[in-house]
Amino acid sequence: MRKRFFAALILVASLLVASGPVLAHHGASGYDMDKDTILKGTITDFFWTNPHGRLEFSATDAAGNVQAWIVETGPPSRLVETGWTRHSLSVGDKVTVHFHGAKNGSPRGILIKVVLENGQVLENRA
Amino acid sequence: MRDRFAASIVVIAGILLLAGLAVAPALSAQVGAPSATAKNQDADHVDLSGVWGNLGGSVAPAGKSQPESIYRMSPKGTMKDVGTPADGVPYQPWALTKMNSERPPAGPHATFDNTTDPNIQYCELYGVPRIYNSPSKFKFVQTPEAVYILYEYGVVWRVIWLNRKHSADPDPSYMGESIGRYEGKDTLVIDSIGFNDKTWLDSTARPHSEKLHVIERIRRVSQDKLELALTIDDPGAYTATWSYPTRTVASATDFAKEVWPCSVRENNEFNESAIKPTVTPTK
Repeated sequence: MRKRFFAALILVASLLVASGPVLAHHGASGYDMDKDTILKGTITDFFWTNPHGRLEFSATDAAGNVQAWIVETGPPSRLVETGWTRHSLSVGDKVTVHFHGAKNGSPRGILIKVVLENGQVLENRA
Repeated sequence: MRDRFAASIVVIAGILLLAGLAVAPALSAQVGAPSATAKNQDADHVDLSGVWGNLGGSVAPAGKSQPESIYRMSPKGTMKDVGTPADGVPYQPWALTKMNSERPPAGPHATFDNTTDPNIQYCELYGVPRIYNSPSKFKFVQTPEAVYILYEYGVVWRVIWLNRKHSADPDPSYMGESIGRYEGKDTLVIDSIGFNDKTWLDSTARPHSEKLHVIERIRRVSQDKLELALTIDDPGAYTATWSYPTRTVASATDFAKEVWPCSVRENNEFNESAIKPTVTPTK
């Protein structure tokens, strides 16, 4: 029985790893998918574009320095599935941005979700 | 022991259920769809009406499974085996060398920068069967003489001429020349030749030659599910015919609410602003 149990687990594990990540058509190897970054900031621009959208925002770090961030989203054809429109974000909006940051430490990332000041949550699809 | 085995089944079922959540949003999006999955049971051939796609789920926080493609990339092995003898693909030596010289967006050697992906670099069409690698939707338009397949990704379409023979010498093209026939009441079989050699078979950079011959078997297994079986016959690049594992395609909604065109200008802007900084040392 123990052998059957482990054989079943191995089967499940192989099924899970045999398929490939569907994240972004360019892949996600530049991002640290094992770490979440959460920043409060102000939208400075929002691009409803292909191959991916992107939101740009400024956030102040612990030392008081203002940093400009660019975080990519899925394409509009995916974002509409979770309620986004091209008007979802406007310059000046106060937001909380959840994302996976760039591995090299640059102020870039791929969005997990953005929370608007009114509490609306917009999830990313990539 | 029996209890432990039963418990293991429950655990496995739970894991599979959680894995299935990656595609659940696409399925749940069917609610309210205007007859998207209507199936004409009286037709003498399969009714492929509806909207179809493999859309995955949302980008997940750390520690949770990221959206997975439900398309397995190889007959054997795991993603890390792609491009090795363990993947079960009968590469000719030149094809394997070429594949491993590429910088693809997916697979064990996925890279983020300086990609050689002809679609990302030049907006060249994905071709067949790579068009099914995209997490986007597609739709069939069935007429007596042909089936048209409309793809959101690339905003591209194909015509599948029914019950005809191939041209004697079709001009090589990105999407090839396709003919089709219905098989039974649930399957459309598409036979395609006439490809150029500029596209990849999939996003792991598997190459092909102009001798590529693709057979797609599309079977409607239920109101909201298709099975897609892809067979690759390319004596110019592979030593034998081989097939991808059969893929399941779920029904979706809102076809072409937004499409996914390719623009070199937009690709370059995105690359400069979002991608390049992540691969350039900043310190």
